[in-house]
Amino acid sequence: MPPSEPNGVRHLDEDEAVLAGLGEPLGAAAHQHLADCARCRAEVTGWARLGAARVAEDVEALAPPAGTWDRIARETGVGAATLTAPAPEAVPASGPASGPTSGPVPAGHPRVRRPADRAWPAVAAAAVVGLLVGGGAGVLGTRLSSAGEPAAAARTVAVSSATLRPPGGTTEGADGPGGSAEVAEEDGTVRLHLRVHGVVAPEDGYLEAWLLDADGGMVSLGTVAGDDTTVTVPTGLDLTRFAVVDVSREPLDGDPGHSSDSVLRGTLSGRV
Amino acid sequence: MSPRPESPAGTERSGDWTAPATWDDAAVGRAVRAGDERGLREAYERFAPLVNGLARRRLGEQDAQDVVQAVFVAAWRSRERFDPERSSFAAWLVGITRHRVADALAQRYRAEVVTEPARLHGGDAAVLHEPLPQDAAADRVVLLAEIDELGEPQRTLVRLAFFDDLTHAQVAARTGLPLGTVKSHLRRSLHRLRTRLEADRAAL
Repeated sequence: MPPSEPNGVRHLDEDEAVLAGLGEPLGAAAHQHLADCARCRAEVTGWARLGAARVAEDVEALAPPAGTWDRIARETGVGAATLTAPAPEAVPASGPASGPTSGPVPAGHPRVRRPADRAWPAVAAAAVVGLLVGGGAGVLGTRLSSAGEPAAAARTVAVSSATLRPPGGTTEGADGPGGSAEVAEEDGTVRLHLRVHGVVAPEDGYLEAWLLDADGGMVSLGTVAGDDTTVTVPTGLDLTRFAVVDVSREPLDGDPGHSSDSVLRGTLSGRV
Repeated sequence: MSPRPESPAGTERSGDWTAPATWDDAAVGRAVRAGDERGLREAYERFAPLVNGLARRRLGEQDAQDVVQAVFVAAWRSRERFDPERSSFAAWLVGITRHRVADALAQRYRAEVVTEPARLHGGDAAVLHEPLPQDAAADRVVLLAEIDELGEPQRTLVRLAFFDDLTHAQVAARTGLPLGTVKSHLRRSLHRLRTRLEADRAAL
């Protein structure tokens, strides 16, 4: 029954309001009522946006200019190498068959980023140095599995770890910059747990975690927020190759590449 | 709710980078939210032409490309803010697109303030305080995506009533459903669509 008030005014019922809002013609009585009744007009107007959307023209789908995805990939660190510079050695042996079997899960296939337009050799050289000094800097312990946590050890296995120090190696002492990185596998997901101290993000920027290889390849692991951060390591990434954990100071400049401003670095050791 | 997508081995379209062909749009949204890189790539494949098309309605090619880039980067970085309970993935992207287009327009306006102050009139300052650019075409993108997310039989009923212009009685006759059922489904569906359409301000 249409709503009515004691004085006999017959308001539009809901279906009429919807139809009117969607632009359908109303009967003469309802039309007249609408002209006189602010309440019903408001009710009808509430449907107007839906009504306009219903009859609007379709947006023309226009493919973005070539290179747009590459820019997105570079800025997000997602899949850049596969799409811009396919390099067989850059794709770890992790085919589709080993992917998730039910539903999307954070287990994408890692892509190795190779910045094309940056002063890259300096960082690559530093990565090599990191590897060379890694034997001294790395901590061989596997805290999670050896620290008397048998319950956790059943599901969580620390596979490798690293002590993080400033790349220059000049700052010493507990108060200086430093930290540790532990790689652990839990239920098939490999995570890197970073503990850092004495490092601060740039005022207009952030800290970013990376895994580097000896050839200048790098994989961004994401933003380091606070002094205790856990990031997910791409499934299938070869940690014997990407053995250097790097923390860099990144400006908010939209450039997804490494800034070359590394503040901490260490080489993973242990079972990888 | 949509069924969970399945991605059995071997259904990938090509390479190791493409999302399983079984993913519907909702699954793409869930993949992005979960941080699955294939989700972002697939989202770009499916929605970039739409995002670009929306941007090009108001911006030149270069600015529109910048918007497309910014939208997908923002979507990736803010992926945890996508709430499938509140909007379809496409609607969420459209919401971000509106913000970015608004930013680009405001930036252009500011540039004009600096370079061509003589062109401006008093009322133009209002441009900066305008609500998000909102047009029926963008709403239509959202609407179609939200209709896609309706379960059956609601989806069919809405399409018949909405786009085939059938009356409730005709929809009932066409589908074989009782008129009362048709009406109650349509009423609930239209309320949901309206709510979803008006939720865009909270997108990002």
